[in-house]
Amino acid sequence: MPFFSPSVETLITELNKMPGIGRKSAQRLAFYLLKIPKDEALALAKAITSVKEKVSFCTICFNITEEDPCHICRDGTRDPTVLCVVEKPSDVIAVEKTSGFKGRFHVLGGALSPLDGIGPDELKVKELLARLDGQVKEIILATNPNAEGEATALFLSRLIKPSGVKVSRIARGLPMGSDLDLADEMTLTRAIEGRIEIP
Amino acid sequence: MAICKTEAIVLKAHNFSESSKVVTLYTKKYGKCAVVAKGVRRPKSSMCGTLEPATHAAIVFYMKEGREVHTLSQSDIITTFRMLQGDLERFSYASAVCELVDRLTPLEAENRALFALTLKTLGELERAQPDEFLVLLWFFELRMLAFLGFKPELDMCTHCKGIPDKTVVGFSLPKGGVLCSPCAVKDDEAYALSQKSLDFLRHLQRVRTENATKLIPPQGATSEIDNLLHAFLKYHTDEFRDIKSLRVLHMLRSQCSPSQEDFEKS
Repeated sequence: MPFFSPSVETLITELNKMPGIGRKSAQRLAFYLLKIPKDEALALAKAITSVKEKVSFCTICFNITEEDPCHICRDGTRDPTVLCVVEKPSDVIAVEKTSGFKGRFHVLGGALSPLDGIGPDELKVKELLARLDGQVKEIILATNPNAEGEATALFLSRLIKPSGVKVSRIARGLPMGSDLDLADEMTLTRAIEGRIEIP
Repeated sequence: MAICKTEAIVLKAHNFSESSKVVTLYTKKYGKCAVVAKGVRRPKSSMCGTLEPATHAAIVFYMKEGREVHTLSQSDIITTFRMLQGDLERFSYASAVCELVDRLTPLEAENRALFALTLKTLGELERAQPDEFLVLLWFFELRMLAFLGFKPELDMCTHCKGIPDKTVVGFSLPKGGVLCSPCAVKDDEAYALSQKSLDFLRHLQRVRTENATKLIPPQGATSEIDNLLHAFLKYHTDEFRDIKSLRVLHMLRSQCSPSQEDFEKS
């Protein structure tokens, strides 16, 4: 016998499908939505509908966008000769926040993960190769500095290098404000390997 | 709640909540354990580089009875298999080793021999040449099956208990071992197994880890041995499905430049 009315039960079931939301959390969220004013709940429903209707992937870089191509691909002031390859759209935002990169992006949609069965066919690799039309002079591989990200960078570098395009990898090492004695061996080794001369 | 201190091999890690990870470890003292590593995805976390797959680390975790996921409090690298992360093929084979351990072992069942085998195999993978990777994986599969109680019988016919003669023999998956020629003829479902493949598997079953890579598979027997071992694993262990890591490796090879493929085939 269901404990709640069918519509509340449906709402709990739907919320329960979200990542990190268990049955209890779904119930708590459902009761919160029942408690708030109707216009607030409808604003949330409208935001969800709007995002699903309007947001899609840019057909050039595969970043999320409401207009195709996205604002970065349309921006004529950006350097079309440099492409920064990232795993997911949130990585584009992270790089953009630095204001230090003026090239364009390519979002792979993930990283190679042998343990999860994710191979190159599941990523936007062919689309990246299709963008190497002669205008692109450098590819910056900005995948995550973990085992999957490294494997992806190695694979892409092996694919791209024969075409003569310069391939670089973002530096890996110690974060600002950290302590040297607390760093793990892997990070410290990478930091020493990637040392730079002080001008 | 008990504070547990042990050596561990990282089998896999998945992101959890905003900055944490749920990590599956194969520990020396407690077998396979799942732990949550809180805040480990933050760049300033002292554990962030220690929980990559196939890393050998010294860990401290809080174990709570009745829980499947415990809490990791400390992790320090003991052995870094750097070559495994700098080479796609090597990394895929190391992932396959980790995947097998993850799939075929129950939670929190100590098996020190399997821990030592996994560690040694990863160490050998680090040193091995590309054409030795597959033999090393077969060696690991055979030895792991023995440690888990599924050792294939390769010396005696599993039907008549006789010693298979030097002619064509068969292999019975339900009986878990070889069949002599007369028994193989009577068994419709027997796998065809050539004498040269059988001899190679017998050597592989007895060899020490460090010598496994010195064995060269007989000409033209690679797919026979590979298919047989995977069919055996599938038949005897419910948890075994095709190893995802190797499927990805095949995909990667098909997209490599011709020169690289030639190198791998040689």
